[in-house]
Amino acid sequence: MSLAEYDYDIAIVGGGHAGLEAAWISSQFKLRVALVSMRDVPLGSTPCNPSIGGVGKGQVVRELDALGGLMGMVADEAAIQCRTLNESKGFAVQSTRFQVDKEEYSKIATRYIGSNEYIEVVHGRVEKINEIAGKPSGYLLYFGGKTLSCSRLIITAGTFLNGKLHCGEETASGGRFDTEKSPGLSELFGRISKLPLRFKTGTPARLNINSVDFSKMQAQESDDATENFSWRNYGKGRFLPQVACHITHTSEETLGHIRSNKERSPIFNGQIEGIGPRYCPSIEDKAFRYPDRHVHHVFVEPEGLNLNTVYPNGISSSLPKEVQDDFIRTIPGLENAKVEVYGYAVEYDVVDTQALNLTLESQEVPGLYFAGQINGTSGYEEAAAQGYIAGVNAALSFLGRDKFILPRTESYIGVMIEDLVFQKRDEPYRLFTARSEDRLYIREDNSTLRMGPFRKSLLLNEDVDEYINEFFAEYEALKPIVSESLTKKASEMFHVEQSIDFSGGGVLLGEVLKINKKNVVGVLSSISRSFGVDSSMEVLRTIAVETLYGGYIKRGKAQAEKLLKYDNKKINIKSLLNSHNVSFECKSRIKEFAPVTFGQLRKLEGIRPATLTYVASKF
Amino acid sequence: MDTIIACASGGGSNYGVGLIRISGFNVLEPLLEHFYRISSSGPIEPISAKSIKPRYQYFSKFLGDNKEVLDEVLFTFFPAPHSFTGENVLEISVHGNQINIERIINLFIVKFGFRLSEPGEFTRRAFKNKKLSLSQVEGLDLFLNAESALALKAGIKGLSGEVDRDYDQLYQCYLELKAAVEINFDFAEDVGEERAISNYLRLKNELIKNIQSLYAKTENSLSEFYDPEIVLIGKPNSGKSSVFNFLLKKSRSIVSEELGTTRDYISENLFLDGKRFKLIDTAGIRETSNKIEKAGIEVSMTKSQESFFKVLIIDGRDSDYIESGPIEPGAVDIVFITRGHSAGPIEPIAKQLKVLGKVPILLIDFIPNSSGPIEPDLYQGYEVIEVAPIGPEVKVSKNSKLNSLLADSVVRKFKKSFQEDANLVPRQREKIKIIYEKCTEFQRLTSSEDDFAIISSELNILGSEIEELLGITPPDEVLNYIFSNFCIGK
Repeated sequence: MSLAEYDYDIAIVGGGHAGLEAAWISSQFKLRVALVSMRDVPLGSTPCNPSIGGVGKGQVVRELDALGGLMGMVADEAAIQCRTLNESKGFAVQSTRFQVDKEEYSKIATRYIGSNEYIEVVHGRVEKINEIAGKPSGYLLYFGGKTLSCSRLIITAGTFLNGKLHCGEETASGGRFDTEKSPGLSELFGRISKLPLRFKTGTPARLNINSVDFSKMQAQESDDATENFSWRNYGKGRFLPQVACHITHTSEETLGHIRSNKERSPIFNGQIEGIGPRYCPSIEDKAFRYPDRHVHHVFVEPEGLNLNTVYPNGISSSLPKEVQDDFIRTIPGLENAKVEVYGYAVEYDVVDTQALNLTLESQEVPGLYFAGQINGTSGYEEAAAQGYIAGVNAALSFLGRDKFILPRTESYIGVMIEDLVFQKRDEPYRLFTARSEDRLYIREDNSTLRMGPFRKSLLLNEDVDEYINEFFAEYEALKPIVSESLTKKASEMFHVEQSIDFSGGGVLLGEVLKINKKNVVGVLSSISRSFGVDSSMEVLRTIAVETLYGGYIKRGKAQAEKLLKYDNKKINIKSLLNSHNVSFECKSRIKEFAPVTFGQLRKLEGIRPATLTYVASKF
Repeated sequence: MDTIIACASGGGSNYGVGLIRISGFNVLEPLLEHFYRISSSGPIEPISAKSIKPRYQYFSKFLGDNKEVLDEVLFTFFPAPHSFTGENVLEISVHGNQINIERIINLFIVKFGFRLSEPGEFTRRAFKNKKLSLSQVEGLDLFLNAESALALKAGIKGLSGEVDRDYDQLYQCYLELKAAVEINFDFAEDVGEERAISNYLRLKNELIKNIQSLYAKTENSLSEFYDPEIVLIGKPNSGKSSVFNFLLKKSRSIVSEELGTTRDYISENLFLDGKRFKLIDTAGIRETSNKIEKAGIEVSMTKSQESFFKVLIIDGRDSDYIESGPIEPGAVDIVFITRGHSAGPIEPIAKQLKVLGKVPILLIDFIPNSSGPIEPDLYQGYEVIEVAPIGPEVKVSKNSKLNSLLADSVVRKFKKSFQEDANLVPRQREKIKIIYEKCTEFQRLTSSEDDFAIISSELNILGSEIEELLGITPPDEVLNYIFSNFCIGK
């Protein structure tokens, strides 16, 4: 069989956020792409919290956008409430979060995919996959009596692989509410390593919007000042009317209902064996893990402008329906809440990502890629980023070109991929800023600066590539101004508010910015204009914030390099496991996670300082 | 790894018992070839390894290559990992003649290819095999080289792992704070803003307190600990050198009636209460145009500021010293008044001193009825120094001795200054000082900076210093420095 005899160059199974992104980027290489999706599942659906972005994740969406990804554009057009999180806590940890209209989101995503001439959406439920042993090898997909062949295959099946739903004592098979499941991972691929454990995730009940008393809750309005995700939409404002989210909270009574029904909770009575995300706990987890706490936030978020449901964020649950009714109605504003869809948990198969390459290609089956929740991550953004990495690498591999790997020192995407491939998963992976060692540098405001060169290396000629060129031209023009010096008179002109000591003559503009850190972008903007340099907001922000952080980034880097000397050293696990000098608990952690370097050992939870000292002394 | 051998019980001269330590061999059996049991029936018989119980001591004859008896010894086998080094160790107690020790060691080196250990190599192996932590090694070093009970105590504290527990707690505290900082921006919505902040503040204070308490144990200088200085200061010809000689019970300083006789400082060891101090005689302080004397006076001033214990000496006849003297009596630890025999003016000075809060005043009467120079040799034959607290009711105790009075006062201050738990390990002290400085910086930063990303980044920098203190990332130089301090056989 020759290349052209395959139906598609690349096939993607699953039309969620990972699948869409994989299709979108591989289509930019002008390859023939098939996106296989179940008929009853809309593309790019948001089956849990209808929001895009958040701490650490906002950075990922902006990175994707600068790399020519899809998610930012869709989120911008579907946004109905926008916020900048951590606004008071410093630029490096500020993140954008958009509440999206879930119907609109799918519609917009479908529109983008549908209008792309290189992507063909194929509906069906894949029952079987065969490897084609020819040269080059390929895959044959079976579904509904039809087949489809492809050269590279990307699996983005989300929670559907062998999915099992739980709602109290009721269980059903399926990937999510009202849909069927896919066959299990082992049925599809005998040769793929999966984690011995299954993972679990959950979602709260959806409430009828008319049954909620918002007057008892605190409103959280959309913030107009929050910039859109995509550079295409900078300064364009919102596409849809904006609505508010609301905050209420649980009480002792709420948790009382849950605590007295422990034996009916699938998570706690042994019915669910899968491991849930520690960072996104269900209300049962909260009730039993923090027995002395009764007040937990509940964010009541609209699901869409034309939908009659709200999403009560913070009370995901798989308790029986009547218990859900009971505890929900103890929450202020939800006393008369009518549940439209009950909360449930889903257990699913997870691929062992340690058996993948940094391209997300399987080490066991070349040409096969995995991306998204199937890799044990949680979150649409994490899924989308993996979809991009799998898609771009499948395309490059198909074209016989070099791999595309983002370093962890440059991007949150790189951090996540490396964590996935190098660390053993024992719970769903969620991205947050602490995962990065270079947080002061990896920021939302400099996404184009960081990702531009990587995008350009793909040698594609899309509008985003032009944007990156413009960005760098402006950046180079503005950058020298920061080291210009400013006289007292000039500073008065720019309304530099705080007193600056001009006794030594001029003051470096960079210093002026540091003194005015609260309005750093505004000050840089007015000063740069007086120098005759006109810059876009993104360039202004990038340079203003990097000036603020410069010294700290340097200090941190110097420190990191000192540590890196040790962190990169290989450790001998065998000798550690055989050593009398390592405690039993440490050994079991080492055995479980098989760290390769000292740095990985250091990051393992439960490793005693004495063990680290012991290992370090051997260097 | 090589098998190493050394005499672990010091060296140089002959003594009762010498301990030879061998570490790192794989099997005991061949080594036993030279050990013979004295059987009940009379003749000596070889010892099999099987008959040797771990950690039991055996008496045996030690035979040379020609089966001649070299020595009678006691030996103990410590199989790995239950030994000092964590390796197989054989300890042999031999008779402590240097030639004997050497020939036995040589026998093992020649016959088995063992190697004489380098200084500290046994301890280094113990460290590498995690039998001792970094601070335990440092405790051992301190213990072995201790010259005072306090240093011994600090040493055993390190060796026993007590210091480790303090450091582990510090590290734990740092990790918790680090997590609390992260929670502030990664999970503030889940935890709640207020709770996140209050948690962070609480843990920050805890870490600071922890660091401060470690720092407090390093505040005295080590030189003060090892060689605390007692300095004698005062105006020229007030009798400092006489007191100096008197305390040392020998004539060390030149004494004359001429002002400014002592132009440099002279120091001698003085043992008080079994502890070594450095007694320093200085140039008298006055206005002078003589360059050499001036330089001497400058040294006096520095010494008088830096020294651990300051003795101010006032000539009993110098009735306006309190108004015009160069050194404030309030700034010294004790005041001696010399020439107490010329009783007239003493009482007013004594009263003024009392008002200043200087209670222990010594009235020293060297030569009754003489106002001439206090001659060095003259203390001989005068067994009584009249020492008395001054007050309206002058009490003269004929039996008090100057040295013991000084000793009381000095040792009391020393014990007060050096808390029982003072840290005496230079590396740890240095690191704790850096941590303290970084912590102070961090405190300053957090009081003005609300950017949590910066706070977190700076906290990491502080944390890596803490990791170095624990030895999680020990620079090689540090290890080399530590182990070079040890002698061979330790």
